[in-house]
Amino acid sequence: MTALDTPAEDLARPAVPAVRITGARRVFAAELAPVRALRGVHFEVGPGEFVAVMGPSGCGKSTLLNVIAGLDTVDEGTVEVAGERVDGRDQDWLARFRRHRIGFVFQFFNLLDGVSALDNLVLPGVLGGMGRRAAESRGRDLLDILGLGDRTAQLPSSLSGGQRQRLAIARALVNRPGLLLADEPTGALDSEGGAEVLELFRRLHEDGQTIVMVTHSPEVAAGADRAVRMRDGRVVDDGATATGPTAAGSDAAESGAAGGPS
Amino acid sequence: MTFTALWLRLELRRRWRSLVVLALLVALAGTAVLASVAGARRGDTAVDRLVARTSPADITVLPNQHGFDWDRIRALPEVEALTTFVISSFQIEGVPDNSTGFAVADDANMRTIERPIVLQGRLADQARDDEVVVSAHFPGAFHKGVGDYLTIRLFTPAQVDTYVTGADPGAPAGPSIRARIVGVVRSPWYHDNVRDQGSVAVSAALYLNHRANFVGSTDQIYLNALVRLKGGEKTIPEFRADLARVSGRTDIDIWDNAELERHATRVNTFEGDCLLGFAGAALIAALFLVGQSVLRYTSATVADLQTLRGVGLGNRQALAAASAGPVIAALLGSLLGAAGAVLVSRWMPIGAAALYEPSPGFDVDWLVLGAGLVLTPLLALAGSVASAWLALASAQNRTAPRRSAVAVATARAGLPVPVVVGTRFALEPGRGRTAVPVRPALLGAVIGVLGVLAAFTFAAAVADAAANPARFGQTHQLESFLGLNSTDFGKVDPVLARIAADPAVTAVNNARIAVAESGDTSITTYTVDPVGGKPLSVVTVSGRLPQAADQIMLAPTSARALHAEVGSWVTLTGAARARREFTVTGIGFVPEGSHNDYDAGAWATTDGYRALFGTTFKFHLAEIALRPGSVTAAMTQRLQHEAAPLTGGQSIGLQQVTAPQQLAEIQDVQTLPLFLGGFLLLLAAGAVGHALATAVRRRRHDVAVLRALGMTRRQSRLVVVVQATVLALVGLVFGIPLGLALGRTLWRQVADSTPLAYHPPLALLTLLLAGPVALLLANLLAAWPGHRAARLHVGQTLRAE
Ligand SMILES: Nc1ncnc2c1ncn2[C@@H]1O[C@H](COP(=O)(O)OP(=O)(O)OP(=O)(O)O)[C@@H](O)[C@H]1O
Ligand SMILES: [Mg+2]
Repeated sequence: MTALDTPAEDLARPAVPAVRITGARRVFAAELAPVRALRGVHFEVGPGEFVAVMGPSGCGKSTLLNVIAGLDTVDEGTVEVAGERVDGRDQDWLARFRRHRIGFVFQFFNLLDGVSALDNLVLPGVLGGMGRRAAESRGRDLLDILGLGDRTAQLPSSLSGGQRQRLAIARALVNRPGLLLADEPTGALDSEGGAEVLELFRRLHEDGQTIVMVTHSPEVAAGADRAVRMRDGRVVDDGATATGPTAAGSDAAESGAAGGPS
Repeated sequence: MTFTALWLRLELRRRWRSLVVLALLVALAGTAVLASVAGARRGDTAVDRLVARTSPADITVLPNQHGFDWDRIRALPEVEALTTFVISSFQIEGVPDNSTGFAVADDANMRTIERPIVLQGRLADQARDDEVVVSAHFPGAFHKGVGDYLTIRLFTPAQVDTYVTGADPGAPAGPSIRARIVGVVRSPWYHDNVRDQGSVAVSAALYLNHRANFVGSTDQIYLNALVRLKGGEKTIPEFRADLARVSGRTDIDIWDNAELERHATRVNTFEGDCLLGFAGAALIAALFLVGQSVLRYTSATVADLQTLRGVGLGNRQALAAASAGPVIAALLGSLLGAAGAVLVSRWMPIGAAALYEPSPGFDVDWLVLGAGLVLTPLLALAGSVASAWLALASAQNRTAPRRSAVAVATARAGLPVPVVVGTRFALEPGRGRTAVPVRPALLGAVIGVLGVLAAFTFAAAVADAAANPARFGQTHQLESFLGLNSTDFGKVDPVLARIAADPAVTAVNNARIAVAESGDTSITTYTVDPVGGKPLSVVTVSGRLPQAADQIMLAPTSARALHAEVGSWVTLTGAARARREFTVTGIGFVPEGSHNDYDAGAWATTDGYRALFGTTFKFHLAEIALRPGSVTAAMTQRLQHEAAPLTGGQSIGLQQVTAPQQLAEIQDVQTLPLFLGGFLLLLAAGAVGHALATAVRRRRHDVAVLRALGMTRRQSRLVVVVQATVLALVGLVFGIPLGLALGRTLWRQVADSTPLAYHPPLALLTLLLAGPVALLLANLLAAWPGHRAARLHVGQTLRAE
């Protein structure tokens, strides 16, 4: 019924996790000594799950999201998204994979500065294979839903921080990705803006969207199904205690599969 | 200052490539401008410097009298030096007569007079008949240089006797001398003309050791002389008076050699002016294209510096920091440019001046190079401070960035994303830290195409004029001299009728020629008198040929002198003070003759001519035009043969018409516009390449975002390709028509001032190739930045920004 709730994935088979990472290692060359950003990470996200990733600065959270999105590669280990291996793929495969499977929300928005809010949504839509008109109407719908319906022609630089982040989220959703990745989406926002974004994520989650969100804030993390803790490039607590991923996930998956394309 | 130094260090580390490109652009421009200004100066002074170093003869004295007593002339008070030469011939194997030179009759030659510059080897020992020197063109034309041998063949005294009577002596049967070429020399007398093959100068010993083989048994031979006067050209009248007194003759021909040198200087000045024009065009293009690189560079720096303004960076510091890089690059570039100019000086001066240059090879013009070294960094300083100031001002001005209608339209049209983004990169400057000025790059592309097109259009015009004597009004190829001073050499009419009847002949004009006056202006007047219904096509600038006795067509320079245009009335005075009024029906060219240039004179009808001159004439001459391709010696002979029965067996004189001097002068500078075109192409390529590289670097964030959204590498590369293509297309759309117009306008100026018939030039090949070449070039230039865009590490770029 809404534009939000239509992941392209077939999530009806709970057996396939949305994300599965095993033994992932990533070392960066640095001037003094190599930095081990990931040191054997095991990590799994069920379909329709909303997972928060927490941990001190520099522990590898962003790197983890980047390797899931194929923006970075692992040196060792495997990365699977919805049952498909992402590691070892070439750049172009990854680019196409991102178009439909991944929506990425960056900490600092990363919007295209020179083009209007609407065009920021149209460009990825067209990249993903939509026609210009289809992408435009999809963009307008998303902007309406995210409360930016009256800002279509404005440039990102003239929007507030919260508005910009909502625009970035809208952009991540244009191609109905199976997986939404968000790297500290509330980090650059004040508490009001943060609450706005979190509320949006909750609605998305209710509609069945699988979400992995990095955050520093315990309040924000509390909104997720489960919170994964990282330290020094490892997952130290995968948070699989309170709410089991399977129950919530499969419910959401069914509702997601039921909500047809808008 | 410390901040500037620190910033400069950072810049050098981060952006050394940009600065190197900038320095190279400056160097290229500097080389072109400095080399051509220095070359023009060198060419202008070549004759004077050669004259100053070679003690040349001021006059050539031609008594053409055997037994003339030169010792008395040598003793005249005006004479500084004198050398005699023999009007008699000898041959050199494999060398045509006009390259064998004269035999000199004393050893003053090359010692006290006409002492040449030695370009290679040494001067010949005048006491040895087996040593010769040659002029500069000779080794190239005959493949014989210093150290090689020539065989000189002398006539027997009996053969010389035959020769003196005007009969053909046959091949020389006297002694032959194997002479070694010991040097290549140059002086005003021993110099080459543009199209000469060069010549040999034999030693005095050749004549002195073999006198009988030159003077024959009767001693009926002339010695003429080259004379250097103590007071130079000014004392010619005194010399002439003394010469008459001593020799008892007043009719001795004296050539003023300075006259020849003045002509050479005039030609060199024309060519030098062309070089200066080239330098000017190169300078303007360079200022513009290098200027836009500086602009882009400083605006990028200012954008970076904006963040530091928040922590207290002042305006002056920002200006200093932003201009430091470009000034250093300009300094380096001007040094390289000066070095380049010195290298290029090896090929300077160009054209006819090269034939007079006393010290060919490398040359350092300190004045020009010094000016270049001082002015270039100053210009760069002014340019970068101004553009940094502008960038600072616009950074503080928070208006919305300019959108391009074309870029918006491509998006509206639903074109693929790389096309939309590439077009936007090319046409929209963007804003904030990633802003890249786009107008300079667009203008750079336009200027590049425009310059190349203008240069090649102009070059096409020059080539056309150089290959077409008709542009100088010369539409006939043969001339027949039929009479002098109102007396014909024979019965002319049947001869002309017979020639006109030949199928290869397309026109015969029976011209009587006499000089009319209008005020101070002499007007050499030709009759329009077609023979056999085959009129000569006259090249008209405007109007038409006269058709009635009171009508006249004036040549352009005469028309200007009389302030006449088509429709004006002019009054001419002819023979026996006959005054007639004529209406000017046209402006057009006349045949080049011994009394007039092709641009001075007039055409009248036979009746009009008769009204002025009656039946008198100065010359009687027929202009004969042949079908293209049939102008050969055999053809000339055939016409002569056909005419022979009518002239009682005597052959009529038929000469091939030589092209006007102006044609040779224009041919000489034919390559200049091509150099200019090539130079502009290089400069534009540099500027556009720089624009693309900058755009990719400044906009890598945008590219990275698009990559994160799923744009492939190929598509990222395509973005840059589209950007380059749009630049090229804009360049073509505006550059082609403007360049064509500019090239034609420039040529019209030249055509009006030369003067010559303006014929709208069209560089067809250039026009056809401009599009493909510009697009190809743009895509080649896009290759490296495109590669960078494709290789971009997305994750890293996004976390860094
Ligand atoms: N491209 C890179 N080159 C070198 N080192 C890197 C690179 N990317 C990440 N690192 C290093 O890897 C480690 C993990 O970085 P990452 O960005 O994943 O941390 P994070 O958990 O996201 O930190 P924060 O909460 O501050 O964003 C850090 O020490 C970082 O310096
Ligand atoms: Mg991070």
